[in-house]
Amino acid sequence: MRNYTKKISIILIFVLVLNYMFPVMQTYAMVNTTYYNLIGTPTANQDSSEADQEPGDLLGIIMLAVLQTGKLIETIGGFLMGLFGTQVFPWADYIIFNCIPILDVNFINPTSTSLFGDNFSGGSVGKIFRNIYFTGLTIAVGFLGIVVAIMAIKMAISTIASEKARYKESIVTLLTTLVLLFGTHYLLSFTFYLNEKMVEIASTIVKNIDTSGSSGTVTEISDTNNVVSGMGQYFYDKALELGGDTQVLFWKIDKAAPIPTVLYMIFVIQSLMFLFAYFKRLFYVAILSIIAPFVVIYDFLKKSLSM
Amino acid sequence: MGGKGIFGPWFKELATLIFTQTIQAFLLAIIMSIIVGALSASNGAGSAYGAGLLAVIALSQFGKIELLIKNIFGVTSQFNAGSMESGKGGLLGAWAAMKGAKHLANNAGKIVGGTVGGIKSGIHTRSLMAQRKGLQAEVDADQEAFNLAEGKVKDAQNTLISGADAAMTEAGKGYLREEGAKASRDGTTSGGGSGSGLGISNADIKGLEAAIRKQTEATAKLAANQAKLDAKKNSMKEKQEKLTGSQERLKALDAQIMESKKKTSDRLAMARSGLAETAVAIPAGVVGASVGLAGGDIGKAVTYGIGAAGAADKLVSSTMATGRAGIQGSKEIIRDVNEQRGFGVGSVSDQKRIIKEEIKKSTYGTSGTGSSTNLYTKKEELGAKRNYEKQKARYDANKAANKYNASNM
Repeated sequence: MRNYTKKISIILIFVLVLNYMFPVMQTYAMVNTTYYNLIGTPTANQDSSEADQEPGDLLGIIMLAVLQTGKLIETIGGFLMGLFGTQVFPWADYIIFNCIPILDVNFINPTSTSLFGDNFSGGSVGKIFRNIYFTGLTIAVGFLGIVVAIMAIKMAISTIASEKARYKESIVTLLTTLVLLFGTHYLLSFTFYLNEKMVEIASTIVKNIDTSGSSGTVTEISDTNNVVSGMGQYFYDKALELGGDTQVLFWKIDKAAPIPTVLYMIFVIQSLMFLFAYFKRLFYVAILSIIAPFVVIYDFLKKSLSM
Repeated sequence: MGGKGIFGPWFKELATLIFTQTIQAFLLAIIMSIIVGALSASNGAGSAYGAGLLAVIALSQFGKIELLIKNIFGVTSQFNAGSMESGKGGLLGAWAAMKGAKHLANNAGKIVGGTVGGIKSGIHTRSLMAQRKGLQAEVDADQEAFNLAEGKVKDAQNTLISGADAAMTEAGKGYLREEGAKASRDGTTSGGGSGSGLGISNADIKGLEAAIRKQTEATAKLAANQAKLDAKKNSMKEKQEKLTGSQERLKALDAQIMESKKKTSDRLAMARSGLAETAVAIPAGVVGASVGLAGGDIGKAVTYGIGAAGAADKLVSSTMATGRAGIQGSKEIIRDVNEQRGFGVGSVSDQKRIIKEEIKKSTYGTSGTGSSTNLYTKKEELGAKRNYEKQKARYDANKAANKYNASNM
């Protein structure tokens, strides 16, 4: 069987090499040009003037009303978030890319203004939480230490070999549990760290998007024009930029482009949805973290009793 | 430590919750790259809008794509916290709260609108009632004038009849006396011959002439009385027409008053309903929200709260509407009965006066004109009583005169 697999592998490698060397053996998938060939230069309007992208007057004004409704929601949201020390609307990209301190779940190494931080504006919630966690850890360590001591004494005074072996096994289990207890703490810390680093890497992809308008080149963008200031803010500005303006009687009224306006509204709604979701996540992670020491102790006890 | 311990499931849940953020971050980065790149492109209106449409679709499917990736990697959590779908519940709850707030705001509109409308209608009703008072006095005056005119006509008729009878009787008696005297003297009639040779004395002739003169005078007097009677009848007719006109206007004003009273009642009922609905909706909403919160879902808490408030609101509203309809129905029944009995249009609160009027009519007798005097005050009652006394006295006098005449025929 192993020889058969080996032979198949060799044949496949040979075919791949031939395929690479001789283009006639190309096996790339492509669209069905046999039926109808649509590959070619697009016949769309090539006018690159931005004025042609402007929406009609009525559509533009309606979209402006929608845009300003979203802006109102954004303003109210920003005001409410001010209660938690963040004076800005929590856009989805801020939430997901871990820029909102209040939503930071890392209680082991918190930001000063996060829920678990020392400078949290809502009070000393973090201190209480950390105290509970470390108290639980201390209790678990103390419990295990006591049990180890008892087992050691029993082993010392026992004369029967089988009992000694059993106590020895128990002590090994206890020590393993103790190591796991401290390991859980570092496992938690590492999980938080890994998550934060991965999120940072993802955020750099967005940060390096070229918004200068020229296609093909991906460059670092300047501080005045980067998208890290908030996707929603970017869509809002783009909607007004592409919308232009119009004259109605004696007044000049801005217009808003429809596509960025719709994107802006979607982003506002999604931001609110993510805000609710991440608040729930924060509390779930906090509770699960608090019970970590007790999970380890429970497993130890279960194993001990089954022994 | 593996096997069937709880450490594995616990860590899986925790890791799923924490790494949800990582999955969403990469997903958002990819989608945002497409969107921002598309919006930045300026190589043709068509391509910008086309790319933008693609971006809308991509962003709207963010939640579904996230779930798909989680299922592939097997990192689903029983709590599902942190995902967009779980956030939707909170957002729907907030939207339901906005709807509920709008519903309560409708209640505020009902309370304010009902109170203000009720007060305005009440003021309008008061002014109409004041107008009615003046018009009622006018109707009473017209009624009295008509009664007087009618009495005068009757008097004139009686005078005519009794005077004519008396005069004619007197003239007739004189003539018969003369004829009798003549017959007893001569045994012959006056038509047999002429001159004194037939036995008619000059005294007889003078008597006859006097009787004829009296008859002529009586006829003239009769004609004069007849003319007086006709004049009085014309006057009575004019007064009757004036009275009828006043009564018609009074009837129209009564209808306006009733409409205004109904409007006031409806407005105040609306305000009461709004107050009752709000008073019941708020505690019901709190109870509903508590039930939802106890269940652990903020979205459901708001939904339960608003649902309970809305249900309580509707219950109170329909109950009050049914009650109002019942009261209104009974009022309409009473009004129909009153109309059939000729009392005219009136409200439930006027029933005492209507009953008093009925008793008064049955005791004193009608004035003979069928006036709609269904809103009598005490003063009006005394006025009607005085009028009745006058008519009664006139009636008794006429009765006595007719009796005398009959006995003297």
